[in-house]
Amino acid sequence: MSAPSADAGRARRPIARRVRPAGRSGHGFVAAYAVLLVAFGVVPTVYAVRFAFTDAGGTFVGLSNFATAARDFRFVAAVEHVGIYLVCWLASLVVFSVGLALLLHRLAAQGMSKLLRFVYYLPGALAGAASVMVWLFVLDPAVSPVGFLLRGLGFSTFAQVIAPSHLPVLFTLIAFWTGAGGWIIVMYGALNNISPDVMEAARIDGAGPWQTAWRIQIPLLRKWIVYMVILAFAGGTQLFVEPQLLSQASVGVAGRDYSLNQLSYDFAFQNNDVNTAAAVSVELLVVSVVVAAVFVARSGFFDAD
Amino acid sequence: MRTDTRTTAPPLPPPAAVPRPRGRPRRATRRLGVQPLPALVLALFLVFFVLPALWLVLAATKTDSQLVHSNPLAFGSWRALRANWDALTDYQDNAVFLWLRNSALYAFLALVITLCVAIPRATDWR
Repeated sequence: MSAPSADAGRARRPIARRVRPAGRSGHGFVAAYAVLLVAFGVVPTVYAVRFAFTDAGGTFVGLSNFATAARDFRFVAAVEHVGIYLVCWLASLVVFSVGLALLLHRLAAQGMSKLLRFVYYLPGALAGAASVMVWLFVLDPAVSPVGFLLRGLGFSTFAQVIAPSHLPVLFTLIAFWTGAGGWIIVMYGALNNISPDVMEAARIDGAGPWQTAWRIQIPLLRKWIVYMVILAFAGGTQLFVEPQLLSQASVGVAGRDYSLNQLSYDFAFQNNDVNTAAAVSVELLVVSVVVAAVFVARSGFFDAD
Repeated sequence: MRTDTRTTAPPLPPPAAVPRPRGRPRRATRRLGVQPLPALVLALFLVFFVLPALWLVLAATKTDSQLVHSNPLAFGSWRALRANWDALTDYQDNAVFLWLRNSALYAFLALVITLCVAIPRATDWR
C-alpha cells in the first residue's frame, strides 16, 4: 500500500522516480503473503464454490445444492440459532469490551489496571476446546464453583442448565470468557492512542467521564469497534466447537444440529453429501463478506483520519 | 459540551497560572479514584474471568469424589494431584508430552510464518 497513487506520482515526478525501484522490491515482499493467501485462502474457497454448484459426479447443477440445504428440516432452526447467538455475542462483546476498556483506562491505580487486563486476558490462553470443557463443568450444578447461583436460578441438573433456549446465552458466556480479554487489550491500546491534547481539551471544556467516553473516546474507537465486529461476526457464524462438545457431553441432549457449521459437517460426514455441505459453507462466506462490506462501507473503515 | 453542570472541573485559569499536571503528563484524563460502581463492575468481571480458571487449577488436585462432594473451591490434596498427574502421563505411555511438543511446534511454526509474511508486508518499502 506504500506506492503513491498515479496522480500523486505525476504531480511529484522526482519522488515517484525515487520510489519506483523500491516499490518493486516491495512487491517481492508482498508476494510471500500473496502466495499463502492464494494457496490457503483463494484456492480452497474456489474449490468449495465449485463443490457447491456441482453434484457428486462433478456436473453443474445450479442452485440445487442450496435448495437441498434450505429444505433440510434443521436448516431454518440452525439459521435462527446462529442469528440469536450472534446478536447476544456481538452486543455483549461491543458493550462490555469497550466499557471495561474505558473503565480500566480511567483506573487511577496503574498496577491494578495492568493486573486486571492480564487476568481478563488469561482465559484466552486456554485453547478453544479446553475452555469449552471447563464451562461444561462450570455449568453443571453438581460440580460447579457457582452451583449455588445455578440452583438459585432454579437449575438443579446439567440438563436443565443446557435447555435449548439457554444455549445462545451459554455460548455467549463461553465465547466472552475466552475472547473478550484480547479485545479489551486491543481497545485499551486504541484508547492510549487518543491524543492527550484531545482528552485535555475535553476536560477543559468541562466534559465529565461519561461525556468524554461517549463523545470523544467511543467515536475515536469506531474503527477498532468495526474491526472487532467484523472478526467476531465471521467467527460467530462459524460456531461449531461449543455446540459439538456440548452435544457429546450431554449425550446428544443438546447441541447436536445446533449451528450451520454443524449442519455442514453433518452433511459432509454423516450424509456423505459434500456438495450440500459446501453450499452451506458458501452461504456463510457470502453472509460474512456482505456484512463485512456493509460495515466497512458505512464506517469509512479505510478512510485516512 | 459545557452543559454538564455536575462537572467538578475548575474554570480555566489564566495561562500563566495553569499548574503543570503532576505524575504522567501524557494522561490528560481525570482518573477515577476508587468509585463504587466502576470498582464493582471491574470486580464482577474479575470473578467471572478468574473463577472458572481457578476451579480448573483446583480440580487437578482432587479425586473424582472430592470433585463432586467437597467445596468446589477447596484444595484437594497433593496426593490426589500426584495421582492425577500419574494418570495423565500413564495414558498411552507419556503421550501427553508428544501432544505438548506438537502444540508447541505448531504454534511456533505458525508464528514464524505469520511474522515472515506480515512484517515485510506491513513495512513501508520506500
